[in-house]
Amino acid sequence: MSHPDDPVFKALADPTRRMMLDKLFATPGLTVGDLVANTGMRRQSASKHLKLLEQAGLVHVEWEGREKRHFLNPVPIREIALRWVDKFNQVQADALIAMKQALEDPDQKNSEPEQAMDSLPEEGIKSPQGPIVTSFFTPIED
Amino acid sequence: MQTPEFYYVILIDAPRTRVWKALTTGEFTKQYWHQTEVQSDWTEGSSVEFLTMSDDGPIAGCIGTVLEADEPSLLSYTWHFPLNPNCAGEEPSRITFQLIDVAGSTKLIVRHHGFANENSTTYQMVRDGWPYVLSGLKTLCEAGSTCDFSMLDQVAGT
Repeated sequence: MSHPDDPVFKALADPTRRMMLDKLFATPGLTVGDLVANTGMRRQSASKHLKLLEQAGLVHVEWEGREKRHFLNPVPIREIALRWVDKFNQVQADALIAMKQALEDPDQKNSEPEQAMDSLPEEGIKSPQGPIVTSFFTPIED
Repeated sequence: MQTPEFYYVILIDAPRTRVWKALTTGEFTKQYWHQTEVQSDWTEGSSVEFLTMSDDGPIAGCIGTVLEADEPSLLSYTWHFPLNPNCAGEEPSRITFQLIDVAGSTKLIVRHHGFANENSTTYQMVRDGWPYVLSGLKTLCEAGSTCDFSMLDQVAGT
């Protein structure tokens, strides 16, 4: 099973490629020559790494005359981070939906309304997520 | 030493017309772009303003001039923070949005360049902000098609 994020993880798994991304973060627009300077890395090997980074969408290439310039594209990394942030929010949302259903439909468990109201604080409102309302409405700081 | 520039690339599962609308309409930019409403008639030479609504009325924290507008494939304008004393004196930088159709979806390439130098305050201010803005743009364009159908109509201009 492959996932669209797989190339990103594969690209980030290698220390040489992470070093290249660090360099591009510090100085956008480097050429292969710039990237291998003072590293002892061969041009050919650097090109292979760059190809993988490009395929993962982490590096964007622009031709300037005969020179190929490389730019770090941080967007896929941000997207991956968001994936789990969204999942976290989803848990909170699910808990709220479950609470709403329990509050709105007490008859599901108890035929008598009074009895249902009595039993709610123990059974219906309790949430395994802790203080869900607080975390749900607190904006995530960027 | 070349002056710094950035490229950001993002794939958005929405047609270019919708992405264009989300980039050029204040009603939409305020949902993902630091709550600012963009205002312009998007013709070459016209002004662009990013407005923040305050109790004293709208404040234009970011202003520019349209350099190129070819709906729905290319949009370019200058970018300047006039109210920040640290960079009000800097020459405006430039933003270019390239919208490429990929089988009905959109590949959006954002280029931000023309900064004075690496110490430019504008450069420092925007460099980390773009991925957040673009993630919000993507979510707006994509989720609009599944969640809020009234918004879908407006965004798609149908």
